[in-house]
Parts: sequence; structure tokens; C-alpha cells
Amino acid sequence: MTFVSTLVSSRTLFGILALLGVSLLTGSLSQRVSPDPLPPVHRRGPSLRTELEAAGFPMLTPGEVRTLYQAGTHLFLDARSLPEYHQSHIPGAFPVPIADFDAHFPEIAPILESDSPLIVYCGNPACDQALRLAQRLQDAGYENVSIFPAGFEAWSAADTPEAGQ
Amino acid sequence: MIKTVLLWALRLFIGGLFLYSGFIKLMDPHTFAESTANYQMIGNRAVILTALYLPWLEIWTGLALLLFPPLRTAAWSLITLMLLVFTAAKISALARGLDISCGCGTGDDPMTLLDVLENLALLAVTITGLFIDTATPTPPAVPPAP
Repeated sequence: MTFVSTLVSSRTLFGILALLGVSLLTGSLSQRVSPDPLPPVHRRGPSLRTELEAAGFPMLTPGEVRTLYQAGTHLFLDARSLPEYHQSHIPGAFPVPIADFDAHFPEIAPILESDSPLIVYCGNPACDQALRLAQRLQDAGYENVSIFPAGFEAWSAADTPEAGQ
Repeated sequence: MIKTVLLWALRLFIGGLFLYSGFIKLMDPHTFAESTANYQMIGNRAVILTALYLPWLEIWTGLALLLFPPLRTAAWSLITLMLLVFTAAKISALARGLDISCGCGTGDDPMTLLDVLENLALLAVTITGLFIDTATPTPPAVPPAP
């Protein structure tokens, strides 16, 4: 009886609300003061596009990507999650899911030079995994990184070859 | 005496674990957001909100468990709720065959059934703590007048 009455008491409810409230408050404050805040929740394609442009990476159109793919001069890195990669990807692309960058990047790092021409992509223009991967690569010293902002959906829609399981 | 020692052991274990887990996520919220997105259960907006607030909720519930006696029942309740959600998410991801890491701040190894069992064990410990702590009357701050 003591257990149930304490559990459902107004004091417990107040405590839960207090903990939720202080978490909301500190979370919002940390977002304001963080040097690397999370993207705003209302963000959609256009503002991500602005961020992409501000980052300064060359951005490639689907046509340019197709030409470079056929020329075989660039390495493709897929920033999406592994299940998405395994489902389908640009043939020859290497999986580097940004969530597990430290686990997957060392697998391909030995075949890369600092000036290797790289193209990174994710799913569509609204995803930011490609931008984040490009930034990680730039931080790691890779100088020739381009982004394919339209992503795999655009590649897939253009009747181009795909690979997957 | 034994009950008091057990209770403090449970508070230190679970409170410390949530403090650590929240801190790890707070140090790299982008990676935590990606890990959350990999579960493919919620939209981008909810992923960002989770990455923003969940680490702080873990930290505050951990602190409340260790340092704020009036908030302990609330903290145990919230931790129970969080563990239930985490466990359900892991079971769902495994059932859908997703090859992802759990995003718990414990490394990048792919999630396995062991992670679910670990969560269930934590849930059992937490419910035990909730029961003992809640059933133990908190001594009054001011002794009753004679």
C-alpha cells in the first residue's frame, strides 16, 4: 500500500515534472551555448542547402556525378546507415556510415591518399550525413572531397546502375 | 542495515550508469542523433529532440537518485520508463534485422540479443530499486514535536 500510494502521489508526479522541466531547460541552454549545436528541428532542405554552400565543398549535380562515375576517376563514399547501403548503393561505393565513422573509415583509409578525389553522398537533399562525412574527412586531412547533395534517390531515379544485396 | 547498504548500492549503480551514459551522449550529440536515426523508428524532428534532451534527462535522473532524496521515486520511475523504451527499441531493431550499434555510448559494435538481455537485467535492478526505495518511508526532515 505504501509503495503504490507513494508511487502515484502528487509528490512523485511533481518530481517527474521537475526532472523533465530541468532537462528541457538545460537541453535548450546547452543548444544555445554549444559551439556545434544540433540542427534546428524545423530545418528542411533549403537551410541545409545554405549550410552546404557555406561549408565550401564542391557540389556535384547528378549529371556531373554520372560523368565522373563513368570516367572512374573518383571514389564514392556512402554516408548512410549500413542497412540502407546494403539495400542499394552506387556500384563501387564504400560504406562509411557517419554514425560509425571511427569503426568503418579505418577499413578504407589504407587505399586513400590525402588528395584522392572523393565523392560523398547520402539519401536525398534533406539528409545531412554527406555534409557531416565531408567535414570529418576534411578534418582528417583529405583535401579533395566533393558532395553529391541530391543523393542516392537522384542517382536511383536516373536509371543508373545500382548495387546491393 | 543490509537494506540501506543494498539501496545505496542500487542507487550508485543505476544513478552512476545514467550519469555516465548521459555524459557520453552529451559529449557527441551528433553521433547520438545518428545512432537514434539508425533505429528508423522516429522522424528527423523527433531524432533531434531526443538527441537534445535525453542526455540531460539521464544526467538529472542519475543526479536525483544520488543526491536529491525527495526526487528519488520520480527518478526511479523515469529511469524505469526510459529503460522500457530503450528495450522496446532494441527488440524492434533486432526483429527488423537492422545491423546497427545500440547507441548506448558503449562502442560501435553491432547490437545483439545480449544488449537486450543487458537492458532487461538493468530493468530488473531498477524496478527492485524503485520498489525498495519507494516502500521505505523517508524520515521526516524535522523530527516530530514531543
